[in-house]
Amino acid sequence: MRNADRSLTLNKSRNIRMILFCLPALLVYIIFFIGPMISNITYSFSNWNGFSRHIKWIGFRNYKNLISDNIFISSITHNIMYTAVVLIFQLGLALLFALILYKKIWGQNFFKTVFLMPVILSSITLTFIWSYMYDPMLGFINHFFDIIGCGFLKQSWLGDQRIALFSVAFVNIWQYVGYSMIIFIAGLNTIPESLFEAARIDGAGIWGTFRKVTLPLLAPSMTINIVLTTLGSFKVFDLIYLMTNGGPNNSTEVLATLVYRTGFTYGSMGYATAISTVMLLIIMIIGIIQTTILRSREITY
Amino acid sequence: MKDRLLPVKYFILILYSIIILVPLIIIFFGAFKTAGDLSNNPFGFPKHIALDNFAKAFVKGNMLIFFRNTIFISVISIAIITILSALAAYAITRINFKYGNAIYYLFMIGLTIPVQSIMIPSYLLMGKLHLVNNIWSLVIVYVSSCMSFSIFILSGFFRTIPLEVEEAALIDGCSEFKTFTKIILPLGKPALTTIIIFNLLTIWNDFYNPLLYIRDDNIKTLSLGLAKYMGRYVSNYPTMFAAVVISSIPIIMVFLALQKQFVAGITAGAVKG
Repeated sequence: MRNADRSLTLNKSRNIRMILFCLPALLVYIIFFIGPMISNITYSFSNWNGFSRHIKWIGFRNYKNLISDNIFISSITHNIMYTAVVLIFQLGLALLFALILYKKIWGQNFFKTVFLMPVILSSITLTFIWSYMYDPMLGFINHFFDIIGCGFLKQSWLGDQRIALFSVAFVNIWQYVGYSMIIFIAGLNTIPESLFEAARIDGAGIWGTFRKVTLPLLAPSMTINIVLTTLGSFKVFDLIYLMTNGGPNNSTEVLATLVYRTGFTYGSMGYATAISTVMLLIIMIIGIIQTTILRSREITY
Repeated sequence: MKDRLLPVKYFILILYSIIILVPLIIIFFGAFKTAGDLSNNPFGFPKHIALDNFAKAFVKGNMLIFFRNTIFISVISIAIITILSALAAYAITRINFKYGNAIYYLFMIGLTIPVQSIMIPSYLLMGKLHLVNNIWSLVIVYVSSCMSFSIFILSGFFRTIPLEVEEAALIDGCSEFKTFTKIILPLGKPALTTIIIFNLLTIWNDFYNPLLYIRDDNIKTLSLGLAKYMGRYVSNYPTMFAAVVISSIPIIMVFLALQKQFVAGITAGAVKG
């Protein structure tokens, strides 16, 4: 640690006491978090059904079966589509709003509060709100299209397998734009005003300043937003489980709901742990790749 | 140049505010409407204020019990998390040998792990401990799963507290524990507030773990309890809305009261990430 060279910490008995301070947290965390994570990987090499005392170890067979499992493959595809849509629109909108709101503007705090409000709502609350909004018969959205004379835009938002996944993604975006915006605003506030002035004096337009000054200097908050949003939306469970439960016709099934269904509805614990191990690997790999690539692009001034 | 863009800026801000607020307003007013009133007049004030949606939600929906359970679980879990993570974060930032870093990174693993990667063994473990369908299983799950984030935020903050402050206390003969409670905790208040807000939000809103561990109605949390309305009142939106309004009010109050700390927490979490 970076305090290592300080005189106070060069003391053995103090170290032992410090470890005692750590111990309760460490024990709970290892027993109830790290332990299950490791046994999850172990179970993925078995065909265990969750009940029988006898566990048969079957090597990589679960993983081999996954490759030819259509629902597994389509779930991954849905995860990727969902994450891509959320990334583009959530971060795009968040950046736009951050650029408007980071400087003093009348009503600044009001807009920030409003944009941030959905972040605190629970997934069940969001589900109630949006199942109503999307309801094909009674819902507000279709009702609204009728009123403005655009009846042809009416959809069965959660019932049509071509658009259900995007309808759920929209709710995710609606909830978290404010969150990403706050991170962008914090990033924008660290850019010295003098750099914008220098760009202006050099005759850069709004777009030029944005591309040459704002965007490169915003790279650290971009990294954080991309990583947080990707990981968050790749793990999506609640909204899908509650709003569509993977349907219609598996068109919104994602890895998280598939693990739950396979393990707790069908009782194939071994297979479910294999799916969740793949999910864990994907998340780790994405996290590492994104962090390395994006970090290497960051510059300091 | 700026002035020319100002109308565009306000157009964007107001348009998006409408997109955020319209659903919230519909739900809020809808909670006071009859089903018929809602479908004729979704947006706008209720014709006459109907409170029986709330009565239904409270009486038939067991809302009071769900509230009690959620508050109980949140308070106990947050108390334990805060104490354990503060102790650990303090020790991690003050420990002086190579394993100090190792402990820190061990905790940081938890930041990326999806709950699906631990839930099956964790469910079996709770079964062995006879804690399935028991409120304490949730407390244990929350304490262990909120630890990483809490330690991450707290140790980031504790590192910024100069050692000289506690050195003086230690030289004066204060024990480490006393130094911790009398000096570190008061100085660490902003970071402690942050983790309390975020953990409260996580626990109060959590749906997944109650779904996994809780079966009986009398120990359900708000999120899980509300989920059963989905099937029962599927076309009776006003009752659902009343339940949503009741369950969200406490968390919205906390948000409005502590918004500054909430924003600071998002920023702190992000900057140190």
